[in-house]
Formats: sequence, C-alpha cells, structure tokens
Amino acid sequence: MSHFKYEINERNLRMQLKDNSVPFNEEAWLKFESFSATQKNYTHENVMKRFNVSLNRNIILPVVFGGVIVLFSLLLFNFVNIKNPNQETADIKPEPVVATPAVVEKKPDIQPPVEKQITPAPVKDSVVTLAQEEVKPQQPETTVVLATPEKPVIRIQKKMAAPDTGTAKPEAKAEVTEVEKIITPASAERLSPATNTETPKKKKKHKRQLIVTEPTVEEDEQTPPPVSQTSPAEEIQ
Amino acid sequence: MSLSSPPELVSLLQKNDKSAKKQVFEAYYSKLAAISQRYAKNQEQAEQLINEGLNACLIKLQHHPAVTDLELFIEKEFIAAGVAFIKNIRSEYYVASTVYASDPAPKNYDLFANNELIDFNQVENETLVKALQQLVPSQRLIFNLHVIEGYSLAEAAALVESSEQTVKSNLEKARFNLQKNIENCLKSLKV
Repeated sequence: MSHFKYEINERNLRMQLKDNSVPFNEEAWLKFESFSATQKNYTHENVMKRFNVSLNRNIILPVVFGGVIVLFSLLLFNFVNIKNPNQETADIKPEPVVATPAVVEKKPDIQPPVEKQITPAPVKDSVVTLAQEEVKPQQPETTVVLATPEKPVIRIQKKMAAPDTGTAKPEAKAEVTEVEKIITPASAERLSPATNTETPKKKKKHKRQLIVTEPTVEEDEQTPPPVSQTSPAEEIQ
Repeated sequence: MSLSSPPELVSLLQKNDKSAKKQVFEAYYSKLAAISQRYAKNQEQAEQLINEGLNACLIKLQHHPAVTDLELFIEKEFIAAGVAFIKNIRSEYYVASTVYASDPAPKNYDLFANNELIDFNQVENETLVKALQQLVPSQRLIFNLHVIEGYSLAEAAALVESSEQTVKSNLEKARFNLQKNIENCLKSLKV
C-alpha cells in the first residue's frame, strides 16, 4: 500500500495551462518561413519515396529470368547465321521472272488447248506429219459472227475435235456445213478464203514450232549433247 | 494588416499565399507555442515542434478545403503533429531511463523533515511547464492528452498507438512524477 497522496487539482491545472500564451515575435516567423521553404522539397521527396508498386517476388523473378534468357538467345541468333548463302542467291534471282507476268497472260486463250492436243502424241516423224494434215481442215478456234435481219448478231464457236484419233468426227463436219449455209453474202466477203486461211496458217506455224522444239526420245538418243561455247575455266567461275 | 475571414484565408492558403500564412502564424502562434512547450522537453524542441506542427497543419489544410472552424482544425492537427513529433524522438526514452550508479543520493531518515505543505493550486505557470517537461515522453504525452486536452483514454491510446492499459499505467506514473517534479522545482526555487 503506497502512502502517495495526489494533491494536484487537475481542473485548475488544465485551466491554468490552457490559458497560458506566448507573445508573438518576428524571429519566430522568420524561422518558420525558412523551415517551410526547406520543407517543400522534402515533402516532394517523401511523395516519391512513398510510390511503391506492389509486385510479388514470385512474379518478378521468373519474368526477369525469362527476359534475360530471351535476350541472350536473340543475341546468339544475331551472331549465328543459319541460312545457306546459295539459297540466298536463289531467292534473289527469281525476281525478274515475276516482273513479266503480263506477257504470259496474253497467250493462254490460244495455246493451252493446242498443246494438249498435239504434244501427247508419240514422237515419230510419220505420226507428226499425219497429225499436221488432220489439224488443217478443222480450224480449231475461229469464231464466226453472223448478222441477220431478225437476229442481229449470232456468235458461234466451234468446239474442238479430238485430234488424237486421227479421223475427224462427222458431227463436227455437219456443223461446219450448217454454218456455211447460214452465212450471208455480206459476211461471206469477210470470210473470204484468203482471210480464212491466214489465221490458221499462223497457228500451224506455231504448232510446227512447238512440235519441232520439243525433244523426243529418239532425238535425244541421236543428237549429241550441246557443246557449250564457254571454256571450262569460265564454267567453274 | 486586416485579418481575412476564415473561408478567404483557407482559399488563400490553398494557393500557398505568403501573406495568408503570416496571418495564420500571427493569429495562432501564442496558443500553439504554449501547447508546444507542454509537449516538448525544452525550449529548443518546442520551437522545432511549432515549425513542424504548423507546417503540417497548412499542408493538411490544402487538402481539406471545406474547413469551417479554422482554429479548431489547426489546434487538432497541431496536437496530432506534436504527438507524432514526440513519438519519433526515440532517443529520449533511453536517456530518461539511464541510471547513474555513481550519483550518491542523500538518504533522509527523518520522517518530519519535508512535511512542508505545498499548495499545488498556487503554482506558477513556469513551474508547472518545467515540471511537465521533466516527465518521460510517454508519460508527458498521456498527461497532456488526457488531463489537459480532455481526450479519453481510448482516444489517447489510439493517438499514441498503444494499448489502453499501457496508457492508464503511464498516466498514473505521470501524475506521481509530476507532483514530485513540482515539489522539487519549488524546493530548487526556494534554495
């Protein structure tokens, strides 16, 4: 048991201390002004220090390691050149071929069916001559435009007969005769034998060229291999 | 200098106006300086506290534009800043608890030697402030908050960030030590 007796009247003490005041002096204001001026920068620094991004360590570490691995592999990939230099030259050469597609597109209306008809034939001189004789009367791709008073324009396109058989079909011939009957005298002038024969002749020439240029098995055996005009040293280069 | 009305003063302070700051400083310095003397342990620390406390008040005022009672707001914020300031000075705790074994305390076995009656209601302000400043910071804080400012024990505990039991025990110690300090101060004045 303590003998301490608390004798302070707290209410009086509170009133006394609350009423206490300190006189204002200019020096205190100057001190406060200088303090607040220095404190501005300090508060800005505190704000920057308080800026925390809460990221878990388990997320950051794998991401950092992954990034390092990826960067290192990219670095190695830049140093090591896997591509073959010969392939690079081959990739560069085909560019001029791509640049001339317009010339190739002009021909397909005429050429492809002709090639199909003629090329598959077995390569013998006697057979080639027979095929040329059979192709002559058919006039494969000529289009005839007929003008009549009732029907202003009729376009008739003859279908191609199979040339491989070696004999012309009777139906195709009948169609040709029917067309000849319908043709008017005015249009007959246009279809004069001189004009008619010109276009197929050109085609024939073209066909002949195609047939001649194609290599055959017998020709390959007979003809010697083409001799290159360049010297062996140039070929190596 | 004509004192602006509180709403005008608040708007000027939000714009960081220097004249408004000076107006506030002049108006509230005497009261805030008295508070800071009670909370601090000496005059130097009191000056430091008034600068930091008032600066914190002005910064908070910039973020709270809808302040009706400026005096109440500043006083409350200043006390909160004072508590934070005293709490941050941890070195004082160790100094206050230091015991010097070489100091020979004179032992008085005469039970009727110091029976001089002291009227504690007639103690001067300076003596009271000095006795308060001699208290340990934790006890000083609780005595100021609970006895003088009128905070409840729970509110004081929340401000100091400690348990209510600790606050209670600190308050009892503060009362005992304050009375002893006043007695010692009066003795030293007589001598």
